Amino acid sequence: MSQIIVEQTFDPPLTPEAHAHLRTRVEPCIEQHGVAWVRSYIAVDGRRLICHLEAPDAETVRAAFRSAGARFDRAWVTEVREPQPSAAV
Amino acid sequence: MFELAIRRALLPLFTRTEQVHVAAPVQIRVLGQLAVFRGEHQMPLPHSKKTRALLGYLVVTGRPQLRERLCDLLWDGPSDPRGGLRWSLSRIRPLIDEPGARRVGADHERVWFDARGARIDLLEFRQLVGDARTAELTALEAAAMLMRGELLEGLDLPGCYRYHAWCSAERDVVRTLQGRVFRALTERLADRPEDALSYARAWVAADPFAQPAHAHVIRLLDELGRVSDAIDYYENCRGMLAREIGAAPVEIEAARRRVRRRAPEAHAPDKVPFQATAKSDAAGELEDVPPLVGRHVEIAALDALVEATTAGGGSAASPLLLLIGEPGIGKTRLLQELTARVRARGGTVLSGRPFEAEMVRPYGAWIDALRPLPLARVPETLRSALSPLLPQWGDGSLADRQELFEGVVALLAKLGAEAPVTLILDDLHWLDEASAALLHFAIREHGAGSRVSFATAGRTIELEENAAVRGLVRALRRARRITELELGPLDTGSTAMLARAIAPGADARRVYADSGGNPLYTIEVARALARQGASTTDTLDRLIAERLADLPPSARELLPWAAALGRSFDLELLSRVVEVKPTELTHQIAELERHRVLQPTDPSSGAYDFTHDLIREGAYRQLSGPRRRLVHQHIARVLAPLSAAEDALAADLAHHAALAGDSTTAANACLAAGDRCLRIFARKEAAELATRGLQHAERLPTSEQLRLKAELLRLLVHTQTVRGREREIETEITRVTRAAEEAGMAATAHVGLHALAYLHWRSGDFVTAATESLRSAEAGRAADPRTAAHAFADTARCLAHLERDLEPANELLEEAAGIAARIGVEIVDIPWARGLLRKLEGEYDDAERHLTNALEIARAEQHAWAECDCLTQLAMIDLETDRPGRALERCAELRPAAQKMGEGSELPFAAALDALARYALGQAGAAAEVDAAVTELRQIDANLLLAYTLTFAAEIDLRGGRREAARAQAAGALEAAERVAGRNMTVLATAILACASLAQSQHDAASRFVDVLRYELARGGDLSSRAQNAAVAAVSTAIHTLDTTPVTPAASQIGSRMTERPVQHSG
Repeated sequence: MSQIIVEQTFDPPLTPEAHAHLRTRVEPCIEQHGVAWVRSYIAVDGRRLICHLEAPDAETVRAAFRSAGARFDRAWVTEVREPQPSAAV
Repeated sequence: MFELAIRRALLPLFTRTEQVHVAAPVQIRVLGQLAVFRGEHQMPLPHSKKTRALLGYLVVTGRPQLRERLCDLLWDGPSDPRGGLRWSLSRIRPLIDEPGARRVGADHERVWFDARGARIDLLEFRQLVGDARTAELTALEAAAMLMRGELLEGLDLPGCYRYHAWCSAERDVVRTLQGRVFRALTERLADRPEDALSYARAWVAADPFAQPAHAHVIRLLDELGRVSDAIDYYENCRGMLAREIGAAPVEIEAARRRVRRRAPEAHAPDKVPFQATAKSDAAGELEDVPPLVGRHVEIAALDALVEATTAGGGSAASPLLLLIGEPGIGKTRLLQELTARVRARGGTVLSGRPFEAEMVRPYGAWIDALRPLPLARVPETLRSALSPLLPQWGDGSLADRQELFEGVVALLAKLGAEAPVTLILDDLHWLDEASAALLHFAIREHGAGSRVSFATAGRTIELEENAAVRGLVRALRRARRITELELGPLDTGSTAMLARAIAPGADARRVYADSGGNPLYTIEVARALARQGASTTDTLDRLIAERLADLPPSARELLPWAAALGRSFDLELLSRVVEVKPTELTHQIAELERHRVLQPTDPSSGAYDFTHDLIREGAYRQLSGPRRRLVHQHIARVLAPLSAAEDALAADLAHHAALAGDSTTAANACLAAGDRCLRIFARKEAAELATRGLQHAERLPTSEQLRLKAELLRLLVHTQTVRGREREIETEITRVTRAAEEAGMAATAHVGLHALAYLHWRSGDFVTAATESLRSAEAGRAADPRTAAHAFADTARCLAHLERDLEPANELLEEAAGIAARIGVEIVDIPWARGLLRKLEGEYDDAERHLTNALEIARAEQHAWAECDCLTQLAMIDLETDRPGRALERCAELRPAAQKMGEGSELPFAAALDALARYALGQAGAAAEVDAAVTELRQIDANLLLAYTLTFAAEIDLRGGRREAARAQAAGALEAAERVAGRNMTVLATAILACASLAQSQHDAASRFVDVLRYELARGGDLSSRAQNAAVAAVSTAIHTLDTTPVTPAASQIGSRMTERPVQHSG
């Protein structure tokens, strides 16, 4: 599975209610496409949303979002790099 | 007296214990009509024919039967066969169980009949006969008395094929035994020629082809001094044998030579098998339609329906009127009354009637209802859509059932705009599944403001036994769109009025006592009174039989043929069947009409039918089993050339050939009729025909059997009705395919291979489908219709894009389409999903049509992604159907739409399709464009689109002889497809690798790829038509090439096979 980032922007900004609605629409669709949601980052002003997902490839995520009627700016494959644990830990 | 004789003859056969039961046993008769007696009292039998057939089956077989087998035997089709079996058993038990003795035993798996202590005429008959050649004369005479008719007479269920086949076989066995008894009696009663003659005649009736029987009749007539009768008999039976079986009647000729020449005596002409005895035409009266008496409530309901239809919209709440009641209770008479009342108000009546014999003739009743319409009343725009029902209206093919249904509804609406329309369907209990679905759709569509109404009638019990109609009625009840009226018997006053209208001086109280207020029974009792001057307590069947026996001989001869046709008929067909001159036929028909036996169904159509089903059944019962077979054989011979020109007759041909025991014709006709059913989307009927055809094919020689089985299994899997039986069918297809391969029948093996691939493609993973895929649909069901339609359509479209769970996707789509049509909304996902699904099925023309429709809606709604995707799919279709020039035009349209989609994959894929089209056209620089597109698709991590591009490029390379390039492209495609588990692309890429390896004579590599393809074909799941064809073509080529090296398939041939269409049901 690949790690995929989806970028979305919102104008007007995304409200908590609109975000909840978006999730209701997108989640069944991404599940149907075999995509797993890992986490999301929402800008505090509600204008940007970045989702981290696991999927066979980026196109699967695009297809799932299109199918759910959810707009996105771009979707790309990422390589996750975690901080190395310090020797003391 | 007969009973005493039988008991005396049987007494030594019973044990001491059994003799106790002889005193007051439960007695069951299966020779002749099924009857149950307790002591002297004849018990009323359940109304349900299937229940009676079940009892007969359990009694005759006399051994435990698996519940599953009984369900298959009689309830093959309804949604709850085990429930049907339980219900029937609950009706049988009170009839034959005795205190402390349960005659019908059952456990979880099996059901059985315990015959101990009961008197069963068939068992007694067998015990008495033993070996007929050595049996006592008294025992033989007692056995002859037990022969009251055919085994389980009248319990014919042509719709239950397995039961029918069993019953026919058992009747043959019993008939053979009967023939032996009659023969023994005829030969041993030399000293009693009158009695011997009776037995000889009975022997002829049991076996009309038995020459010794005919010879004995001639000899005995001669011995009795009836020389002219003997000569007449000889002439008739010689003609019959020559005509029917082409037999040289040696024994008959010998018997004839022995007949002494004497002066003609005064004896009346004698009965011969095909010539009925003349009786006085006592009936002779001219009878009109019987008067309608009583029924005030029902007439008020008819008037309300007429009024509401005329006003338009008043019937919206319940546009369907259903009259329910037992046979002969007056349902048809009320529908005739409704017809008259509608026409009196200037309305149009469309009238159709299904028949028991044609439950696999899809839309039969609808066809009959619409056929009399003048072409001028059918809008030109609808003629093509309706032509699958009525080919004389146009020349068109349909994309799906929806289109046909919409065409019918539009026609009704158009007719309703001109004048109120009432569609009348009598005998609803025989309605086929396809007709029921169309009726449901039409009722659902005609809501408020409509000037179309529907009136139907059906028998109480049989309605419950027809799963399709039961479902229809229940759904309409839930929607409160049906008015049901149950017809009870007439009261004494109404019965008296009816009886006196038939026989003015009739004793009304007596008639009521005899008939119980059943109008048909009342009429027949009154007619018997008019004929014989005395009342009778005979059964309705017997009264009808007596009336038919009193008809003039020439008219009576026509009856068995008309009855055997099984449904309404036109005079042209009847004249072909009976081979009489038109003038003579017209005269005979007029006689039968005058005696209220036949009536025209519609003056404009020129078709005739029996005045009542019970009269048809009575006329049919007059035929002995072997004669029935002859009659059906003759009808089949007449129909065979006709059905070649008009495939709608194939189902009729299958029916008659089956009853004639002609397995070759029956199996071929089942195949033709089944394919026709598929073309008009009558899947269940097609499946039924395929199943019947397979049964017939069992009896054929090996090569013919394999050929037909492969085709019939192909038909069966295309009906998409085999869920839950995939494994069983897969095993059978595999067996047939292997046998065909071993026999060198390449074409048959190919059909089998296709059927297997289609089965796997269709079967898929239904567990997943039932959970994940349908989750949103389930959510939709709880919502309002608009939301539900959107949810269903969206899920169907999503599954189609994912290329999996295609069967649930199709079902959801139809559900969405039904709701959308009803509430009048247009949903882009519906034609979009249809287009995607048809594309996967390889139905490119239909796919293109639906996607173009979706594109228009998407543009109107400014649904950017739908517009972009539809254009993309259309361009892919152009490429896959070898129209690169057109694909280029489409790509030009696609680019601006794709640009609007931002940083997605749409624009890069549009560029890839454009490059592929140029590459296919051989344009300079196209290869570099393809490479650039591939790089771009890799970069954005769109693996399936990448695999598509590489696969298509590889196909072009393969066709162009660039084998190494093809291998490289296909290898890249395979890697990309495997990364995202894209099965169709994986199979396509593997197929190209196999073909390229074969073309390069790299047989080891080819074998590995072919093994993968074989595995994929055998594995099941949703495999697209394109992938499936590519795999089958590669495997077939490999079999051919690897076995017959050094022959290498031409690269162009391989390329063309990739896009070859699969064997599809729609022609």
